[in-house]
Amino acid sequence: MFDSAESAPASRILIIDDEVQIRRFLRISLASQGYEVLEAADAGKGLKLAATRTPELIVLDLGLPDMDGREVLEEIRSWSAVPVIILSVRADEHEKVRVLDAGANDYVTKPFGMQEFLARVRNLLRVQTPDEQDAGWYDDGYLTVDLVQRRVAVQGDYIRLTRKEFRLLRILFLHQGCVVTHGQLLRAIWGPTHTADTHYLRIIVGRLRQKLGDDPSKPRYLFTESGVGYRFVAQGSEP
Amino acid sequence: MERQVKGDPGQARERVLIAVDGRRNAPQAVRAGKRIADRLGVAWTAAFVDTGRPRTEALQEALDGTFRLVESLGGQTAVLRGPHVDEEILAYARDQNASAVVIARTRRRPMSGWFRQTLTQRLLRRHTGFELIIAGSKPEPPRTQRRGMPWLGMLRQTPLGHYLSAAWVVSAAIIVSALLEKSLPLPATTSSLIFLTGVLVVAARTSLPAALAAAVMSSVAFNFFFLEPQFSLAYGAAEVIATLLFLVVAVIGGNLANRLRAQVVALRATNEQSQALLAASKRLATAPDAEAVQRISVELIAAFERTPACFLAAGAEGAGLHVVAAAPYPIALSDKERAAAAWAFEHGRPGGYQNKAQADMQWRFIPLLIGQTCYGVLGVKLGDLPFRAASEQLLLLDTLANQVTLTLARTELTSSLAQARVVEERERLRSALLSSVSHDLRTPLSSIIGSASTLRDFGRQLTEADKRELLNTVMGEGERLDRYIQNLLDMTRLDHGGLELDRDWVTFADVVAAALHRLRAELAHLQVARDIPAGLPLLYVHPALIEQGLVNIIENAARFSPAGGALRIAGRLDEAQLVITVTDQGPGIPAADRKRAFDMFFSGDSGDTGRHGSGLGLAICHAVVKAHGGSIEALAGPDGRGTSICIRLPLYEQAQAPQSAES
Repeated sequence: MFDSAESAPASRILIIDDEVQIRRFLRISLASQGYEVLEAADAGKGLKLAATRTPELIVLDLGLPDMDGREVLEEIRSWSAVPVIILSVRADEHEKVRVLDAGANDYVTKPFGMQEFLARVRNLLRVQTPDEQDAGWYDDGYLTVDLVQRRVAVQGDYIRLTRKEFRLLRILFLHQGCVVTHGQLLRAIWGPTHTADTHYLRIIVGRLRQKLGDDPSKPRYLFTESGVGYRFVAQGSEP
Repeated sequence: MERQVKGDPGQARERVLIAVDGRRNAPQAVRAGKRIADRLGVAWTAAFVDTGRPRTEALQEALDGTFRLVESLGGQTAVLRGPHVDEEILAYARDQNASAVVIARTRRRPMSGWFRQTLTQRLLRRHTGFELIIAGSKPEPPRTQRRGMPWLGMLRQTPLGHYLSAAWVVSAAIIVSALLEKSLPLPATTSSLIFLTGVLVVAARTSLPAALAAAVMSSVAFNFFFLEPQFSLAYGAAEVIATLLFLVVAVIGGNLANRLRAQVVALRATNEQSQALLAASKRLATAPDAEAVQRISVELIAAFERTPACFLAAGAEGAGLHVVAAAPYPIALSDKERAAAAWAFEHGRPGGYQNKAQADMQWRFIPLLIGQTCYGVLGVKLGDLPFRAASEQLLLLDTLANQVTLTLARTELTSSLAQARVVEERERLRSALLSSVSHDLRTPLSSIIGSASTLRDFGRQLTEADKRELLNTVMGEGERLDRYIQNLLDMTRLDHGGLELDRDWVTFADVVAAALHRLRAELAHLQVARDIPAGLPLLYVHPALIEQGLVNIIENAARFSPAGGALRIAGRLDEAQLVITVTDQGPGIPAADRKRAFDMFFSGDSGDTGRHGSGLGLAICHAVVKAHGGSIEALAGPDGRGTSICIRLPLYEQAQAPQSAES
């Protein structure tokens, strides 16, 4: 199941967290999956490592002694598009939306299980890996998506999507595994004046799920992050 | 000149002004004015001009009746002070933006226009910017039957001393004239000037009746002693002219002097009231809260009016009005008086004494009203005062009530601001508590769950060393969680003051050893130095609490220390105190924050994004040390680097413990 990680050249992951115990188990578990792990106990050291060692993924704790985690994120985003997973003890949606809008790719609330965390890490690394980003082509036997031809099929039958439904699917599909916030989706689909109209989104997502045969209470593809946004998860990778 | 206005002075809105005098037809003018004001939809004021002339009882009574009527019809009243009625009315009308001035038609005066213009004529000539309305009513008949009555009254009112001084002055004039006539060859007319001077002196110094008496006496004496034929009272043309001249001088001089005196009296009264109001506002300004305002206001009124006063305020939720302050002695109101106070409170209008429906009441109740908010009712016992004094004081009372209301509004604003600050502070503490609890509970939990799930899911891929490391993490973080929960429990116990110190004799070295043992994992990366001289006296403390306090201090120091940094724990004797210092080489605490470091939930910054640690630890240590009668402070490290926490604990005489207990 984890062969992919081992066959690819070891991805380098940078952990920026001031708690030594957290770094310890993250290091052990990530290393056990074949990743190369870099550690930083504060923002200064973390930023230096991010710049000099070009990690493929950064795990960033929001509570750092020398700098606010969000500032660190902004700093990274000013020169790099490297995927960033935020760790935080704060579980409220506003905080999540804030950091996701600031450019984070995912948000994990402490405490968390290692399975879930590793799944997110794999998701983010897969999206980033160019040879797997198959020019917008997806087929898991049930769902087929062809972004170039603008065609979507369920069990071999093409389904008709409105323009907005397709745009929504496209955005989520291109950020597979990542949470895309309401604000980001609304801005991309309806423009900057509708960033508060989340009910538009609910309607479109509902129709899209219906057409994809996705059960909203037990979705397979379109996952809801309550109060934050939505996430497309490819089959074969856990949410 | 001086104005006292009931209600809201200086309002810029249009209004109808009704000029009232004490005459019988004033009520008609008031009613007419009210009708006009209602038609225009504007407020109205009835104003009386006090020219400083003495008021007869009848005039005062009529005036009070008019003002009562004004109040019961919902108008405002004003008393203007100045020598000229027309000027005061014109100035006030301008001031109050009056769109119409209503005056009552005065009594018929057949001679008016020959000698002096009536008020109506003067206003007609000078009015600008407002309508002048003369209230039509049946005019008062010319006062024929009452003519002369005020004169009689005045004659009776004049003290005997005035007449005596008149006689004395006339006698002096006779002597001076006689002496002059003997020594100098002067014509008799010179003596008339001397008598005239005498009459003028009497008129200026005493009163009109005495001046008239002096004039008559002078005329007789002049005639008798100095006019030919001497020593006879034969009256020719010259005698009659001289008599008339004396009388004219007496009348003019007497009137002038009278008016001047009345003005001085009025001015003095106005001045007294201004002084009183000034003193009142000074005292009210110092009132910190509503209770103080209530107390001060009744004390002020009782002092000014020399009559009992009380303050009624509404109790909590439907408890009704009750007396909250009274002066000069505790006051119990009758049910009827209470009902009148409640009426005033509900209707926002003065009740009780001088109110038409409740006229027999001894108390006057003035509601303290701003907009829709009634802050309470001021009660003043006016029934015991002479009638005239009471009506004079009503206006002063109303002005005073205005001041009290404004002060109450101010104190309420202040207290609601303070309330809001308390709520805000509580809210801040609450959110600090929540974020600190979530941080301090979740951080160790994260390590435990993360390590445990790694062991469970990937155990086979891990080396033995990694597994041991993860298990140690689980253990260490579990202990950390336990410490934190213990802190929370201690804090709630300390916070509620329900903590009882279970004191025992312990050595300081033992406490330090226990604390260091509990923290061995946290201190592994540091160089810990102990400086505890042998022979320190025993501590008489609650050992578990002191140990916990020390653990918190050391844990805090360890958390902020750089790897390999030095941490020094020292104890020394300073008179009857044990001084404990824990010094680290961390980033230190800015001088401005050192006091706050012991506040609950102070952690350098707030919430998740700040330095970790709840800030509970130091606060608990502070509470523990305080409970033992000691003190704690944060100082800069010895060479400006790091922090030195200094705890002072009092030492006790060891009664039952042996001196060598520490060995």
